[in-house]
Amino acid sequence: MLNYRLRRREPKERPPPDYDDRYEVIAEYKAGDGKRPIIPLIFKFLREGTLVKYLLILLLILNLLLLSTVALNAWAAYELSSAQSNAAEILAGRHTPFVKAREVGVTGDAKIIELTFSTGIDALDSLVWVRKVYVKVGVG
Amino acid sequence: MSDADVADVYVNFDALLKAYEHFVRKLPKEAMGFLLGDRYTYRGKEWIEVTDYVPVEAEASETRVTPLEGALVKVGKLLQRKKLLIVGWAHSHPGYGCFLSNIDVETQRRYFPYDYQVALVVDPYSMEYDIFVLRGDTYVRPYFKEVIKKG
Repeated sequence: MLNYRLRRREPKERPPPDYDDRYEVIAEYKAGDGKRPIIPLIFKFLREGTLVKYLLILLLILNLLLLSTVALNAWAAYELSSAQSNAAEILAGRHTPFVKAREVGVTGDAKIIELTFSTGIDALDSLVWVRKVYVKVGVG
Repeated sequence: MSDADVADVYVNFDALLKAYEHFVRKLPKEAMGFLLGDRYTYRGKEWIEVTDYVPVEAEASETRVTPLEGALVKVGKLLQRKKLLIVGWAHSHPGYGCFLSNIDVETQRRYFPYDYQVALVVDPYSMEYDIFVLRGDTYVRPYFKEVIKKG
């Protein structure tokens, strides 16, 4: 059961936060206004921000960049490893469009083939840690 | 800005977030708490400032919430320490929107009977909220603003 005593004190005279430099009004709702979401206000709050808030946003962006880079490298590794078993076909111009093959030498009865991963976008390619692998392909 | 732009209620964003966090933590059950603050006048118009939210330990289900015995004693001590008033109450409606049910209206009428006391309802699933005051037999939305204290 709720059972608390309210202090009945008279209201003090004070200008509202609109007139007070220590406050900032971030949202206003009049009777009849629609929905009052919380999440957009969080973004608004972040926009108002101090340095810490900007650092948090920067950290978020860096995290996204790091995740994208890891995903790109995983993709490159997958393409190159599957290309290694199909090097001769790639050399003949078939197979994946993201791996190019080039003959770089001959050793004994085998050709040495260089496999290079490329998305076609230089900026993305520069984020790939291992772009080239070499594979020996037997002749005949 | 004219005097007509002075709102009825000013809610501190930190208090709103505190309530929201509490309600999310208690999902899927309802939860409740008190809104603390003070009442002021400016050029003859009365306005309320909500500065804090205090969770109240309660027995709750998905559709109703009742404060536990003794929970209010803690709030009473806090009020004395902070020299604040209970300017209303807040509770959650998980997944069924922001309005005052008949039970809520009765709660407001019985326990928060003063003109300055508001009811904040939050739906943590849709992340929406609304504020209501009782006027006569029904409830209405007051004119209110959200504020952040700088620094």
